[in-house]
Amino acid sequence: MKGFILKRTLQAVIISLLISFITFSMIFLAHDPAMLLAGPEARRDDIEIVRKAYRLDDPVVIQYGRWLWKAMHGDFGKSFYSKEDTMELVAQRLPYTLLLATTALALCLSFSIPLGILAAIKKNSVVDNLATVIAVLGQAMPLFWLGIMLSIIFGVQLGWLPISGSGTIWHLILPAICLGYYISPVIMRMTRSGMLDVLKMDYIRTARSKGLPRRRVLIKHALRNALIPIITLVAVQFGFLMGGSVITETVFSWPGVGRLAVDSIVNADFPVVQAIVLILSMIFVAANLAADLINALVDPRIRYE
Amino acid sequence: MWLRRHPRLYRNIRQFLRLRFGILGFMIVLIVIFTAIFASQLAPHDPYKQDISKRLLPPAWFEKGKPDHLLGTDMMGRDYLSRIIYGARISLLVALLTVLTASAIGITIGVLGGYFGGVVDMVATTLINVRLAFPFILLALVVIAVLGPSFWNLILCLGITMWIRYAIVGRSLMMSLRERDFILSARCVGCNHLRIILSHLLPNIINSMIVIGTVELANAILLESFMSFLGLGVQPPTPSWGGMLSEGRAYMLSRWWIATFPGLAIFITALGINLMGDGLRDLIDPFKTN
Repeated sequence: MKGFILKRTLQAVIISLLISFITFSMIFLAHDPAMLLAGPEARRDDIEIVRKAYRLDDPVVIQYGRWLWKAMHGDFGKSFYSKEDTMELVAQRLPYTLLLATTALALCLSFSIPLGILAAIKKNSVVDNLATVIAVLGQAMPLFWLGIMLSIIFGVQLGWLPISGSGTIWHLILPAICLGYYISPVIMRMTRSGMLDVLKMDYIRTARSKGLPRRRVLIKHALRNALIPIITLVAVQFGFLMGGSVITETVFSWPGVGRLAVDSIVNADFPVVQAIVLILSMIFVAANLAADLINALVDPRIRYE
Repeated sequence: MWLRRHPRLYRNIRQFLRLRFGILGFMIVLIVIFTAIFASQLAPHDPYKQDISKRLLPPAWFEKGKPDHLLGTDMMGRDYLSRIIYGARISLLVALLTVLTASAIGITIGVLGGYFGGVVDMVATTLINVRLAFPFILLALVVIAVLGPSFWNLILCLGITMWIRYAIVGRSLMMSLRERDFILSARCVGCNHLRIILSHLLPNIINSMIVIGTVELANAILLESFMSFLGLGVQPPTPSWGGMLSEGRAYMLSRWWIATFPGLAIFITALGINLMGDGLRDLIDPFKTN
């Protein structure tokens, strides 16, 4: 177990370093940072002064080291666009994204897990086909279009719900439904196939042949074992959830990090983009590391792979 | 149900139904391809021709609609149906080129990692894990912002973002294939690595790659349309469904149809491709279906 933890942690550290280097070098690939900092009216001498002042003439590796050191302490510099502290900007927006993502995830799970399980238990039934239809339609649905259509129907035509902004619980409903529906095909398919796999297991047959009631076999023996991998797979889908959140926040003007990221990319505000990309990726790496370790703890077979 | 007592008949009916959806999807895709190729013959108007006197006409079946503008006009008086027809061209072209680029990158990484193992595989898995850690939409947006929005940069950017599935599946297929006897015998006969990969291993994974490619075609259309929606994808005045949707969003309060039609086009195209992909998977790999 010690060896496994060490190996996986080392792997996560290497991946994090690579990600941070890619995130850092983005800005050098795009523009001359001194030129961006000096502003559009700067003359060549001014740009050189800025370059000296910000030590942008050092080798890239040294600059990267400096940037990483600061980033690890939560200092991503000032936004090019609003001149505010980057970390503060992100910290203001992060709770909104978390609120939207958790609400959507809760909606999605409470809807797709029961549906996926029912679809697996009653294979080829009406429920199964319904689940398939929902999943197929969901996978082809452009999320931003779904958002606009729901806004038109429930916001503009019926006037029931607000279509942009935040503040009340009513503002949360449409974005959460959109994002929840966006991730539900994946969760539903995973639940269904996970449950089908478990139902094929020997211990299910044993439980049935012991004469246990069907309901008890399904809930106590099958469901418990099927849910563990689903919960960990949700961690893997974090990137997908964040991607969907970017789209949803843009459509509904939800003030989360996704919209901040899109605005910053459009405005070439690289410190903010770097901070968001790095923070989201680190959350992903950490969540996956945690999921792996928990899995290994629960299931000894994984450690010896 | 009496069908339950005839399992084979039941299975055949289900298979036929599944296949029927596959055929439906295939037909949708054919229609979209046909529309894209013959856009200049099918479109009733020039999609770029502006006419300020005919701005924002509603579809023909509305009271103020004009019969020669079936879906109305946009805010510059351009015929909306013609723009949607031309939009199919750009959407399909971008998606197709994306799948080619992404599959080339992904298959190379996956095959090399899975075949050679060891250090090569470590590099491959690290690449896969690094890519997985980036939220893919942000990655695509950052890459396009760094490269600058243009047609080829868009393809490159989507290619860099979307290679992951080919790599993951290709790698795991390779790992199980390379242990098989026919590879061993090929090696005994004296085939070199290149020959083994190209003529013995690749043909065995190409079916799976085609199935992934179809699904990814739909995903490429969805991602491209979102990027164009943000103004970072296909640039105006070229008609793209995503770009039209973003123009239509400005008129959401008074004219719902402007945002509705291009989205419907994206949705139907992606649906057709996905249904075709599902059918294809059933045909190629009938044992994997539940």
